[in-house]
Amino acid sequence: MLTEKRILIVEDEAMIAFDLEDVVASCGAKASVCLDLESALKKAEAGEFDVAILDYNLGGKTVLPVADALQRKGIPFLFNTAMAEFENLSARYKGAFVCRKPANEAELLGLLVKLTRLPPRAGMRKPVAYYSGTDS
Amino acid sequence: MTPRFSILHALLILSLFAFLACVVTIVLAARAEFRFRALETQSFGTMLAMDGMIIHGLNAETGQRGFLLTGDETYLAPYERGIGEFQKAAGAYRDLMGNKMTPSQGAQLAELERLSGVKIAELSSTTKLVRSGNVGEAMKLLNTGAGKNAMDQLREVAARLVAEERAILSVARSEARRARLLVLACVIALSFLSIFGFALALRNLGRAQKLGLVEEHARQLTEERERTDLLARELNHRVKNLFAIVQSIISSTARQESDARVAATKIRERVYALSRAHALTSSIDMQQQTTLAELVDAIVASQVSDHCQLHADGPPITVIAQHVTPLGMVLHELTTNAVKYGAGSCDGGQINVTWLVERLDAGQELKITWQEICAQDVDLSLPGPEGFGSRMMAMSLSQLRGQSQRRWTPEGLQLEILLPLDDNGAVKDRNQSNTSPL
Repeated sequence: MLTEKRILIVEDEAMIAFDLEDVVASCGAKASVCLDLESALKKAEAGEFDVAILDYNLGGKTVLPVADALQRKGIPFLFNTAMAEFENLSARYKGAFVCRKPANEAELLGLLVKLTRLPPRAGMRKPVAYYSGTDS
Repeated sequence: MTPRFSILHALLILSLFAFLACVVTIVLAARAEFRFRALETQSFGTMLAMDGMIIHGLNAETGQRGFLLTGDETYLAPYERGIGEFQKAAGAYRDLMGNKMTPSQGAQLAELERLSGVKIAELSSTTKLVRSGNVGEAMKLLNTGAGKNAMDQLREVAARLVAEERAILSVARSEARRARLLVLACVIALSFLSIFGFALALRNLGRAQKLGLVEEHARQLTEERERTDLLARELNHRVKNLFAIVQSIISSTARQESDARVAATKIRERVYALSRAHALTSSIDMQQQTTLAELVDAIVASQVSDHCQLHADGPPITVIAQHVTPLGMVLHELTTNAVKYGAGSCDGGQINVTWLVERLDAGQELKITWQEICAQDVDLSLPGPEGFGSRMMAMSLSQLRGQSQRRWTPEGLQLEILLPLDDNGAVKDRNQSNTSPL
């Protein structure tokens, strides 16, 4: 269901990025991995993606500039983060999904499919925020 | 409020009253003293006036009698002087007393003036008679004793006035003495109050110092707690991150290995390497960094068997907690491959891990050389460059902005890893700015 989808993965931890790349690749998607904020921002602004997975904390910096850029481009995204930032994130990005790290693989893929199926830009307008994962 | 504080309060109020009472007493005492001094001067004057009156009366009387007996005019000079002064004496007394006379003093003064009038009349009558040659009449007048009588009464009245003046003065003197004693008592009381005040001030100073110490202690505690909270948050974040990494290791290994046993072994080895690496930076005092030498020792040396010689050498290189995972995983994959297919799998094999810092225009760079030496020829086809390990290594090195170059020599693998260092000579990563360390 994610076949040929272009997915941007922003994650500063190589091991996790490596796994996420594998996960989406196993579903036939084309992953593009960014390990730092600068390159992620460049790619987001180029905007050639169907959906994005964003780690919140990139070596002490937040991924928010990337999220802003994606929002401007109308590209749906989900946050995959260990940080307890759900409320802030869902308030700032209406309708963005927040996945609590470590994410369940099936859940993550399910959310990605949902996001790619939304009509263009609809993901940004949805008034409800979702998050998955069990509370810590 | 504690009862002790109330007592202190009461003491302070009492002290205030005592102080006010002392001030009032001293003012009153000063007034009493002043009154006594004034009275003393006045009494001295009045007594002098009374004594003068008697003396001048006697002088006039002496002159009168001398003139009467001898008819010599020279006696009239002291007589005239005596009369003049005698007449002034009562007026002098009145001037000195002013309106401060008691009723009895007033009455006595009137009596004194009356008697002095009688005496002066007797004196002037006799001298007038002598001058006109009527000595017999003069002697007759003298012999009536009216003059002597008036003089005697005058003496008595003057003595009474002096006595009364003395009594008034004596009362004022004892009042002044009592006031002086009261002043002394006040001075003593004020001294005690001062000592009390000093003691209180000293105690408050001590308390203020103690309070300062307590506040300082509280501030230290707050700082300590903030630090602890920060460490707890940091630790919590790290644990969550580690769980995520472990999960990634499990899922990526499981996807790659179809055989569950092989997958389990690989996962166990990788998680073990991860835990060894993190043990270096997760001691109880939250040590935030380790060194490359320690990391090599923890990951590589623990896996290489006795048959294989490990030689690790290089300058001290700092590795912060965040970089332990990628660097540790790279070293683990290299070691695993060496143990399975390379120098670690053959007898007398040798692994050299050496590193050095190279200075470039753009900054410093760490160059790690991984060299495997095997006596026997090695199978160059394993592992493939696009295998799981290589991809994982490439990703990990990419996190550290590193590059690697792999060469196969007849003796075995030779790998060069280049990692940029920050200004402090520590391994840095992509999200770290070029100028400031994390």
